[in-house]
Amino acid sequence: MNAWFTLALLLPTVTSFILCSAFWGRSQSLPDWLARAFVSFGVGVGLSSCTFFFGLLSGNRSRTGLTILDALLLAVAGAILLAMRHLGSEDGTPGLQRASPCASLITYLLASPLLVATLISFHYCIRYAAAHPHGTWDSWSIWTLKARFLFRSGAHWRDAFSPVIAYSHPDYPILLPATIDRLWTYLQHEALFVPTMLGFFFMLCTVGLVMSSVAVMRSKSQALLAGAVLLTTPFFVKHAVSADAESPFMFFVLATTVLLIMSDSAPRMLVLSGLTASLAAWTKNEGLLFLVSVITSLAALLFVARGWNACVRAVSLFIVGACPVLIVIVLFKSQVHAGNWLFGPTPNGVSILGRLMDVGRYSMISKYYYREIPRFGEWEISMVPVLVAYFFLMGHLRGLKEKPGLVAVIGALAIASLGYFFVYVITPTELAWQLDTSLNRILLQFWPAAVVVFFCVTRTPEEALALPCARLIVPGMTDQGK
Amino acid sequence: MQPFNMDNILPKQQSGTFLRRTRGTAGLLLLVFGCGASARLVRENTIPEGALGRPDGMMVLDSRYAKLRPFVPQGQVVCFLAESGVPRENAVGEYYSAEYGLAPSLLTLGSNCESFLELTSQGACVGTRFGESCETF
Repeated sequence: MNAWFTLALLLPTVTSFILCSAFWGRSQSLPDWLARAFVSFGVGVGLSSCTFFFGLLSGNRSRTGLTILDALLLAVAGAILLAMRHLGSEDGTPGLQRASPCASLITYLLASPLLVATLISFHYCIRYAAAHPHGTWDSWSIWTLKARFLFRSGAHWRDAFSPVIAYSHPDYPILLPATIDRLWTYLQHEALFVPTMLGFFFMLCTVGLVMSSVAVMRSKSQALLAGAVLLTTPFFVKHAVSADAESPFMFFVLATTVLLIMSDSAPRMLVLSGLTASLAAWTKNEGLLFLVSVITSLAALLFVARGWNACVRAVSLFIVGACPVLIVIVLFKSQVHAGNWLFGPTPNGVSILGRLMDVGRYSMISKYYYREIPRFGEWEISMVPVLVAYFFLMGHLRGLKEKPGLVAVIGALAIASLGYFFVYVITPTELAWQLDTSLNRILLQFWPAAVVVFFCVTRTPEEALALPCARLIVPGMTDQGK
Repeated sequence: MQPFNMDNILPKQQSGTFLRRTRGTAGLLLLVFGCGASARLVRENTIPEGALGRPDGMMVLDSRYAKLRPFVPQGQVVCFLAESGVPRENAVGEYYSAEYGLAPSLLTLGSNCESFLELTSQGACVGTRFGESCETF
């Protein structure tokens, strides 16, 4: 790893850490600092792909030119931090409850299975990446293909979005190809390890953020359980090194979820939440649906619960955070001129209205959802009924009405899932094939976020087992099942 | 005979705690068992020892196309012709891997182009309508 490559990784990370610090609630614990660091790692990659895109547009794509753009972004982040400090910091107690320094025996007992799960997962990832350095079909035929076009074609980089290679979906946004290309530019050659390394990097950030955020908002033992559930989802681990865009997309959906939940006590974090949601939209087109779902859910919930002013304030903060990357997306779409394949007619000429009116499609999609939800993780024993049983055995938190961020997240995930359902209804490709090849990935995209939500609303082991330590760490908390 | 009642054995508060702990322990055991079963699946899905020593299909194809890349014209669309007799599905797969290996040349499936790339049993030919030069790879 040369000095330039180190710089390529370090500059955006420092930039995004500064940016996150400007809007983050006051950190009080190690898990809180870790959560901020994991968000910063992912956001750094996302923002650097945006600066790379500006480099493409301006024709300034040399290593030095990119470093200057990254340094400019660092300066902007520093200015934002100073401005926010000048405005005065807002106290933050992120999440549902504080983590406690008190670690129960359960925490130590749960650490060993998690360690085993981590070792097994990493072993799988390393061996898979060694055997399949180009990743899966989707990764090389869509994402790395675009990165190759951008890297090899110089001034003709728009060829990457030519309708001649329509199968590679020219309208897809380019966070992943731009990041790969940026790292190749810093390395000055097409290093084969970069795409799979990025997938693994985002997997680490996803697992790290799930665990640190649950530790902040609930307890350390709960965080270990959340990490174990994620790392023992075979489909999640397989996707980590597949080098496709699911890994970063999952991370940005998760980061948006965590930041929204934390914004309950530090509203400024809504700005960061908007930023991560927009980076999801810069990763995959589905991200736009997710972004709209979050805004809709947040606005509806706050309007009903707290009135018009609170609604406008929260949505404004969210949109302010989303705007910079949304501008990049608009610029990208204006450059590429690629129509969205979803809205075209089917090969046999059925229009979008005809597809919407076809009841058979609704029935078929429902059947696929019913069949796929319990098994999308490729578990040996489906974790969906296991988690449902666990929820009823452990009990749940009360007082969710006082947590609009958490409720907004649940609403956003529900709206986005409904949106996906309708995307399937209008898809012009053969429906059964489309469902067979994508529904499990679509469900996986929300899995880390769903795991965080699940462990936020379920009682911790200490609470459920009524251990003395739990009494110390949850003052004033009410729970069910006593 | 009186029906079984936990309150007969333990005071009400203690029996409540006992039930909570039983439920909690059952929940934890269930979750850890479920995770353990899935972790076993991840381990079993690990690539077999023998697969690590040899490159996968895409590695082989990509290194072959890398040798051909300098000979494929750029700045124009090049027609891709699969080996004759190859089923349509396989031809499409070959086309995708050729595009990946030969980027930034733009390939299309078909024969109506100024230049073409044809896969043959001996290798690959890059040619034009007016003449043909063959480069085996």
